[in-house]
Amino acid sequence: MMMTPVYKKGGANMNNVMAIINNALDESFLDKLTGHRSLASVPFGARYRLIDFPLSNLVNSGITNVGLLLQTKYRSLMDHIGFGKAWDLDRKRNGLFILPPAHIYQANRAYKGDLQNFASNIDYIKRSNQEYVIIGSPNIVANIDYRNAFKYHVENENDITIIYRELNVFRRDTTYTVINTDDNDRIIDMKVDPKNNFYKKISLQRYIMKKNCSWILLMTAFLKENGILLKMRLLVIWII
Amino acid sequence: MPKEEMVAMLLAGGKGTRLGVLTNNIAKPAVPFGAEYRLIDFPLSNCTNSGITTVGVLTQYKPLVLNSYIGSGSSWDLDRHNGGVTVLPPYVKEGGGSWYKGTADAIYQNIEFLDIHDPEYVLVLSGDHIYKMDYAEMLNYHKEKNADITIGVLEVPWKETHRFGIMNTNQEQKIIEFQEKPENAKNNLASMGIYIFNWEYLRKYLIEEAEENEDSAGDFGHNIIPKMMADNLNFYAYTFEGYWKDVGTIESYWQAHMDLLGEEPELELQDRNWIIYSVNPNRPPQYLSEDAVVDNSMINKGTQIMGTVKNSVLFFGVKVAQDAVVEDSVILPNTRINSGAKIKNSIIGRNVIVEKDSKIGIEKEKEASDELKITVIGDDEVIPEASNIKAGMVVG
Repeated sequence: MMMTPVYKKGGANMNNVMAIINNALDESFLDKLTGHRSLASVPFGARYRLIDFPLSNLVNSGITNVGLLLQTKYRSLMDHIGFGKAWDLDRKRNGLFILPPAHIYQANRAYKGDLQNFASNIDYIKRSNQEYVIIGSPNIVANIDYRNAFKYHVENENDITIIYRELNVFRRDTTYTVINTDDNDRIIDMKVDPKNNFYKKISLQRYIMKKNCSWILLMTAFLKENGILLKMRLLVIWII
Repeated sequence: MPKEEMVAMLLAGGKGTRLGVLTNNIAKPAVPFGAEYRLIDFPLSNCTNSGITTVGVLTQYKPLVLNSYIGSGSSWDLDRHNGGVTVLPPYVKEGGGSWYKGTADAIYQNIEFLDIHDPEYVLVLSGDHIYKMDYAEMLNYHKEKNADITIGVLEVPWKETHRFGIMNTNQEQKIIEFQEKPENAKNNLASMGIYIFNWEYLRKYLIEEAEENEDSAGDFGHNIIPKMMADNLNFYAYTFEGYWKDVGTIESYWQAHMDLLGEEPELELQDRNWIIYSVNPNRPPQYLSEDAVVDNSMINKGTQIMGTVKNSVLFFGVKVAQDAVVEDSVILPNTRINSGAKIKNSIIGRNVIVEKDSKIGIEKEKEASDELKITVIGDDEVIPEASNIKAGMVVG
């Protein structure tokens, strides 16, 4: 049975983890379903919307600081989420944060990738008092308990943990990020949308990392120096 | 409903007899404190800051103000889907009902509440202590020691040990003996009235005590703990280092307010990592007139000061008129002090009107000793013009 624990501050406890749900995904494959809504607010399973799954997974795992990073067509998403009450995220401290997309801040800059959105909301990330962050997206319907994944991340002293799953059958009408690991599950290769699916392990695009690890520095560096913006999925590979 | 690891049970039913007129109309945990708060804000905020989200508040004596103050619990972020804050007054059961006979009986009568949440541990708290404490640390200690019961203790000066329940411990902090207000104490670790119990054991002992001992006082200190001690359960002492005050008497209540003053006060309320939450009184900012003199004081919203305020704590909505002087005193909400009135070493209740040129706590009785005597005025009193209320008197 599930238990709501009382966590000591910091360390490997779930109150030391924040989460960001990245909504900048290509949803065009759903055609008319996403004509006027984001992937996150696509209805699912008689009474849910896709966002319910990542949000509930985070809250059930004991995470109470969740940022919802928006991109486009988020009117119905906002409608659905409200101020987070349904997930008990209407909190005085922590709770749900709506993170507007970059073009709200910088209307004159072309959209190059979702890292722009992360960078525009870096204040939120900096000001949160958690040490770790889990980054996810609303494109997967699953019950994921992050407590085990986070424990693994800390005990194994990983820099970045990517949650993966093995697939035997790959579909042609979708794209995958595939990874190859050694015997210790250390990622040794990763490919985004390969022409041929080399590896059977697909990334679920759920990343666990230290909040102020190389990631933020790197991202800031990218923005400031090169002006090159990569997509989140590509950046992770680059780090590895 | 998910199982809770630890549920807090906050004992808030006491009258607080020793606070006299301050608890005429309200339970002790509802007594205002520190310009902004009520006593219960401290344990409730400690719970929320410690990550404890299920809290039962056991009420009995004059619960109305306390009930409406707690409301949905949103002020302490305790309006939760599962748990949150629940007010638990005594109620009628199949075989009739009764008042809470004592601290343990209050928990016993709410076994059903605890069974709903099915916790591993139960944290028992008092509603009338001023302190900031991380109960998650205490729980961690409880688990590390593999304890059945952990009691929060603090070191008190040896000469004061006769006022407290003293825990005699071995080197591993295991409690081997309990002395209630001993004349010759063997140790100086005093109980803070904070306990973590393994619920499974506590539940068993509560039921046994209630079923086997009809005349039981239903008290932790007198009935349950000695019995557990006799059965050799594992008791550990968790030493708390930090400010802690039992504001059970007029003197300690006044002293705790004085402890809030100064540039580095003994009790730090500015810590943004450990906010003491309270219900917002929604008052405008304070106003100090050109003639106002304010020294070393804590002054809440909605106050208007035209006179002199020194070393004092003023709650919201207090008005100090021109030429009025307030020194070393605590003024509760919405009280008016008219011009020329002088107040020293006093606690003035809520909605009091002190008419002009009155003196409160300024003069001593002729045969009075040099000992500091606090003067107390109860809620809603009107002190007539030019009255002289001598030090140590109580009105109300």
